[in-house]
Amino acid sequence: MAEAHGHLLDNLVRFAELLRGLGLNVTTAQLAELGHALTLIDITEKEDVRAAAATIFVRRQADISPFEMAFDQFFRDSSKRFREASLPNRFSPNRPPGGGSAEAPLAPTEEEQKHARLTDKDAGEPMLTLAASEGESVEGADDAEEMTLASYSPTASFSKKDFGEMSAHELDAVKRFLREHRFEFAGRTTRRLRRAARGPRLDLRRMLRGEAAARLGPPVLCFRARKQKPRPVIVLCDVSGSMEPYARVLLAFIYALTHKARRVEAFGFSTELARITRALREREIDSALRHAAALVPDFGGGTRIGAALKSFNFDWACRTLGQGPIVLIISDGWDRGDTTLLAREMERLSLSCHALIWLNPLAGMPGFEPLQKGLMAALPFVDHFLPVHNLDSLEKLARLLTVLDTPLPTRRTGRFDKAA
Amino acid sequence: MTSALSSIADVKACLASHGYVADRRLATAVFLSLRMQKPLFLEGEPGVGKTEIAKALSALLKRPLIRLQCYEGLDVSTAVYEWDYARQMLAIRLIEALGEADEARAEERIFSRKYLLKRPLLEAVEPSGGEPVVLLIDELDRADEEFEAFLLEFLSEYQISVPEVGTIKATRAPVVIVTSNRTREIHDALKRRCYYQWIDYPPFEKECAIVKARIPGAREKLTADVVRFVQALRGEDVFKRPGVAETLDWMTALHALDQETLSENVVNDTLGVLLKYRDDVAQIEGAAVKRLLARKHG
Repeated sequence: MAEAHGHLLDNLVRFAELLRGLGLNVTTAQLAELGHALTLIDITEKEDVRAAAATIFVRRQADISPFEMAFDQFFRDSSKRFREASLPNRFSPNRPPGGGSAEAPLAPTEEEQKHARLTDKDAGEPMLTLAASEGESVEGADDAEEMTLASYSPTASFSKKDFGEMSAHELDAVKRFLREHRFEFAGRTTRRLRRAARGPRLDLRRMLRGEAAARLGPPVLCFRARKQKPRPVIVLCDVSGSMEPYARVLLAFIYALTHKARRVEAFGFSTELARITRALREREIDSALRHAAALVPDFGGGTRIGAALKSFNFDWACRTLGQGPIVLIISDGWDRGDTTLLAREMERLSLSCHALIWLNPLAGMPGFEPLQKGLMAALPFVDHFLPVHNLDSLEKLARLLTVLDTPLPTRRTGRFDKAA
Repeated sequence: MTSALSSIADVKACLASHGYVADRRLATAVFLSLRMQKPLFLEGEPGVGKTEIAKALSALLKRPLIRLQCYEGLDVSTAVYEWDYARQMLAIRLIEALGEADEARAEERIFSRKYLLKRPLLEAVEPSGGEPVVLLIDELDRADEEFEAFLLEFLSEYQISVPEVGTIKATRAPVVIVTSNRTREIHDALKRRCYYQWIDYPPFEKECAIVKARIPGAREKLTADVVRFVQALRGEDVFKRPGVAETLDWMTALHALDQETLSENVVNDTLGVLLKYRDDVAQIEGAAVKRLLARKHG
């Protein structure tokens, strides 16, 4: 490092700050390495410097384009001295509104715009304000509602009440119930071995250590057995207009799943699919739900389930469908898209997961029949079809999730006939 | 050890002479990882040449290649080291028979280096042949998270701790290549210890160069046609896009079929070399093949 030139080092540090501002995790050790690396290559070759810096700083694919942006911006004119005044401000994530310079903005402003749009929406739509109602005064609430609020442990009538008919206070109670409910997922036998009292394999290492310590007498048998691990869960939640009365509660349900189990991936869709896992991992439930809702384009709009599933299958399946997951699709099946596409994508999805469960808020209604076009196309590929319209149904689902541990022998083969 | 590779251009040229066409960026990453003795973590779609680079490096550095194929449940005893239990048990019986008095010494003898079986990682740290090796940790995303933790010590220090014996450190650092198909994200702790490089599908010229480097006697015109077709195919709405490995397979297949040009029939008949999903084949064969072939002529 000592040989690194004075103002070069200065520039490197500033460059690192710029990268940090863009969300890259740049350590001092990496900086020192770049300093070293620059002594090994021809520093006048801009592309080599770029490649060297990329090699050291970029750690994942998502970092590539911010890095490129930062590099181009920083070294746009190598002969000109770097002007510190404008740059770091422009990249800083909490840049004051309207403070951007006349040049093309580099920071991702789309997020902010979405957020702004959402805040506007918040004022008007009950679906989006529901989460925010907690903490507000409960003026005008009648006694019964006060009761549910105070002791929300679900009574028989409460747990059978349809989410769509609940008041804001009751929904809050549901939310709190979800937060404290324990969810357990069926396990899957992994190939990793652990110590066990009994098991199919001998733990020779443990036996030998015991034997070496106390050599006399018969050997003490020690065992190893396959380890169990909870299955990953993937939730694809329809948040289109027809799902509006349920979307909030269901998102709260997914929030609860995300926080109770280690490996949950969540996606929301109406006409397009968006990953909402990260937003839902936020600690504070209301802001988590708000951010998650903001991520889904066209929240509360039309439905194209087939297209959404296709984009899941193409873009996300290979990254999330490892290790035998349970896939939950939450939708009422009102589909404005192509049902042939839906059937094809359902088949693809059903072939690469352990269990495919379709949850329908309408299925709880008396006299319900799955006659929606989308639902009829999808059902042949589904392992379980359940209602999700009240607390009771969520509890049933939770029970089902714990027993799905063995493969389902009768899967799918008979189902094509049923479809025909 | 790598004195011949004194610049990025050298690395690029040497890789090319061993049939691996690398762009400047990849060559830089390889150069730095060799010079600064850090592992290189390669991520990218299947069939873009992540594994091949380890083979090329092994050939060009004239070092043996040790390959560790990852899979779920891969553990210390298959990846790092294992005690030779059978011999240890015999030794115990022998000690008993001879009436060894000192128990502590007996245990020391049983858990000594003599009874340690080397698995790929230990072999890389302490090669039996004496000379340093190229270690390929292939498809790390197939292993479970638990296995990543085993790698941390090795990747940062090139050393392995065996509780009974102590720490075994490499006298000369191995060249380490880690690859992942990105079927899941690898933990940051592991990536931090490596240089990262994303390998994308190559542009047209580079892919042609790869075909020519890999398949001796590849005809100019057929190569260009084949590469143009595959590149167009990657732009189609298919579930699994063909990689460079598929291009090479296809070229070999066309050679085996004595084809000099791409005709619609031949493409339809050999589509299974490029596309491995029934839906994809059904979508492309026939009309789409005709369209893709027409596009390249137009």
